[in-house]
Amino acid sequence: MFDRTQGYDSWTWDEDKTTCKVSIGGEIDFLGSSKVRELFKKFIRETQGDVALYLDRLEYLDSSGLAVFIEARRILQEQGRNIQVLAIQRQVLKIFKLTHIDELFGIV
Amino acid sequence: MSRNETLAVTMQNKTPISHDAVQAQRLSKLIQASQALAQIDSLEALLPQLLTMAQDVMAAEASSILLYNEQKKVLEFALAMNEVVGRDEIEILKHQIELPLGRGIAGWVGQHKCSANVCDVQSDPRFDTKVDEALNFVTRCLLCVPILHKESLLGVVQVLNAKHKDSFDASDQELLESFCYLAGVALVRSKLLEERLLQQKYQTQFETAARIQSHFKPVQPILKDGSTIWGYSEAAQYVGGDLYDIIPLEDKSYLVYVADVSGKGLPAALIMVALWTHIRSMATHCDALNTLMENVNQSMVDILGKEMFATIVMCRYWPETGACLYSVGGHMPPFLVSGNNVRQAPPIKGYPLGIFPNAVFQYASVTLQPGDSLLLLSDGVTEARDEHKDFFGEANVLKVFKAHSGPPWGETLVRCVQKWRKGCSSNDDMTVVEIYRQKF
Repeated sequence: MFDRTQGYDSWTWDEDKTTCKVSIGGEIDFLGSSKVRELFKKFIRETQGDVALYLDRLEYLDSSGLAVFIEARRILQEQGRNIQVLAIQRQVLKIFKLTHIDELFGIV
Repeated sequence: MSRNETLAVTMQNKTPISHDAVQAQRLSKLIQASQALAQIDSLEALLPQLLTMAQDVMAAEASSILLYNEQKKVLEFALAMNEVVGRDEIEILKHQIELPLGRGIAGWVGQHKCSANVCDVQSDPRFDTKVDEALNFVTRCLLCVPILHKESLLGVVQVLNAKHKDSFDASDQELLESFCYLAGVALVRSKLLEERLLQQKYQTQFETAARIQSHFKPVQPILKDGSTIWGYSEAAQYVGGDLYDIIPLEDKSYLVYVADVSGKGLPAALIMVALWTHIRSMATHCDALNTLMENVNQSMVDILGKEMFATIVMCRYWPETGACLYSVGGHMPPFLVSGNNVRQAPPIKGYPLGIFPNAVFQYASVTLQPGDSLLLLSDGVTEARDEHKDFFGEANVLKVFKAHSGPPWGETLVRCVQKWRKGCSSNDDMTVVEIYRQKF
């Protein structure tokens, strides 16, 4: 499903540029968020079309990680593109809902 | 005249001198070098000392030390001494010339991590004339030795043109190699010491920043009849992005809020200061809570740089009546503790601050009856982790409030969260504010 996988201390990044899919797993906190931001920006630069974000393997996300997704969405929107979260765990969904960010990512 | 020069002159005059005497003098130089290097702590002081010794011991016209830049994979002139050329030329070396590994004799020594003793430099195919040309100097003979530490290249030392003989010999090489071994240890030690000093400097700055940040904590007001507005905040690192404030307003109400800037440490703390300032300056000009939130949001959009945001729960509380309005920007709604009845105030919509310009905020109201408490928390409470990485969670918050029949619930909650962490380092900033209305 994904053609490139990168593993870090507490999280993983999988991507498929052809189908414009990203999957993030593990735990994203303040320490990991700057690298996720870097990877996301690069992915956006190198792809076209709407982005499908799979978070079904993401176990924890703090506010700095959420800020990365919000920024990615803003950059995509400036390019006339969208981002949709297609799978998400309960703990992470709670953070999206608490901040009212869920609807921005098409989470229903 | 140095002892080495005495030795060299003696050799030049071909006065017989025993091998043992030569070795003894060299050993003495090495001991001197070892003692001197052991007393030097900074790289800045070490390099001239190193080179002076090398040049003195070897009786050379010139010498230089090149340090290996691991990132660029080049040798850079850190210091050069030359009795023949002027200071300007030496400066050229330091600022304009670098040798990739494999280039020139020094580059070759760095690449192969072994010494080169070259008697006729000008005819050596490895020789790069660039340095001689830049300095208007002619290198006749050269001895270049790598500085290694545990097989890693730190740099090279080279001595040029033996003053009293045609070239450097095997015993010179042996001595310079021993000298470079000492230099390697001294270099590593001085780098470690410098890193430690830098770390101490940062620590002092962080401690100062933490002290300054503590000044942003508000004065807790003295209310009538034992009612209280109490707050507690602790940063996961020295400084944090959690913030609370208690601002008295003209109509005897109080503006009370808890905000949480995304991220941690200094970036979050800087944003925290900006948010504190904006809310303080706007609080007295906005009568409606939602208008204040909208104005604060608008002012934070540019500051947060589209990379960060801040969640907030803000209340306006009238102690006389117990009336309280609250508004939320992407934050946990407040908890209301009323006897055994503990509940979260109904959530109301509002995005975190700094994401959308022109975002609209709403507000709702709750009334504190005598004996009730309203608690505003940051997610550092619910997301505090124990040694098994389990979260404290909202269920435990409710459990703590229900288990304690009287105030102060906020202080009790803080103690329970700290106990939950059981000495584990705090993973997020934590803030708790309690508005308590005293029973009649």
